[in-house]
Amino acid sequence: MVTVQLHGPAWFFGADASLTAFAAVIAFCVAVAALRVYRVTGEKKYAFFTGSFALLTLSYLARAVTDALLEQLIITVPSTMTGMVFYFGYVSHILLALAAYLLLVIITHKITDVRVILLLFLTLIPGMLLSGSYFLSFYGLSAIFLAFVTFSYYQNYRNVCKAAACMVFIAFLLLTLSQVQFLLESLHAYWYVSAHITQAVGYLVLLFALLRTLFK
Amino acid sequence: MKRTKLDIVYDMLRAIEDKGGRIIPTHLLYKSNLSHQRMKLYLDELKQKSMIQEARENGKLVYKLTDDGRKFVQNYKQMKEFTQAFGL
Repeated sequence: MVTVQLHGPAWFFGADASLTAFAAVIAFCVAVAALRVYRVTGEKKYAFFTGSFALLTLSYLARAVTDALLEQLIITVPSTMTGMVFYFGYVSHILLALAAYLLLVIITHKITDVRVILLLFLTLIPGMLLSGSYFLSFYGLSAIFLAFVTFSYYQNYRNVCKAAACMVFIAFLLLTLSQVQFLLESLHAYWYVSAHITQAVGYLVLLFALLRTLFK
Repeated sequence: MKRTKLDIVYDMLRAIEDKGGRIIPTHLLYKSNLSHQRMKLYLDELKQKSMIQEARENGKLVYKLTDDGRKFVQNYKQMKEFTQAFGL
């Protein structure tokens, strides 16, 4: 029997699903932009980058739809099915997001050794399965992965010294911060609200960075 | 600084465009600053992606820039900015 766990204060229901859907749209735009480069060059790194943001898109969509269903925003889900919706929706969100973040770490740190990549993926298994709280493990692992990606984007900004690179760095810094705020959710429901807002601002900055590259 | 694949493709297509949309292999080799072997690999890929066309004019082999190739030259700056911004 799965216990359905709704997050955040009741007045925030709907807003969280909308902000997550907003993140999905921006992640999709980044994936499309990366796909354009991949189609020209055929290089693996662009394919992985496209894949990473495509996985993020799917992950956010799964979360947005699940939240909207559980908060009875779209349709009223029968009480016998809420457990299943919660389980499949959140498990998809967690697995897809972790795979996406890990791919981002691999790309940004230019890890090419297959054994190291396999090791990173395998360490996720005990990290998730042996944990007392899937959410804490997920947000903890996400924060670590995103912190590594952020560090790489900081170095990239220092190398290229471009406004768009700076925006990407700030966006990932905010995304890392949002994962830490999600971790604190159990302390107070307002952390959930601030985490969603920080995440949305992070994606907004990412959108500005993308627009800046497109209209250059 | 080492050229990326994106830069090399741009240099080749830009060289063709600068020559009025058609170029002979010797000039392309000189302009793209590649070895003969590597240039052949790139040419095969560009032909496959319909960015250039191979033709014979007065018995001479020439490479012509296609509409897709022109589109790439126009969009190169955007793609370059994107790859730099995301550290790719």
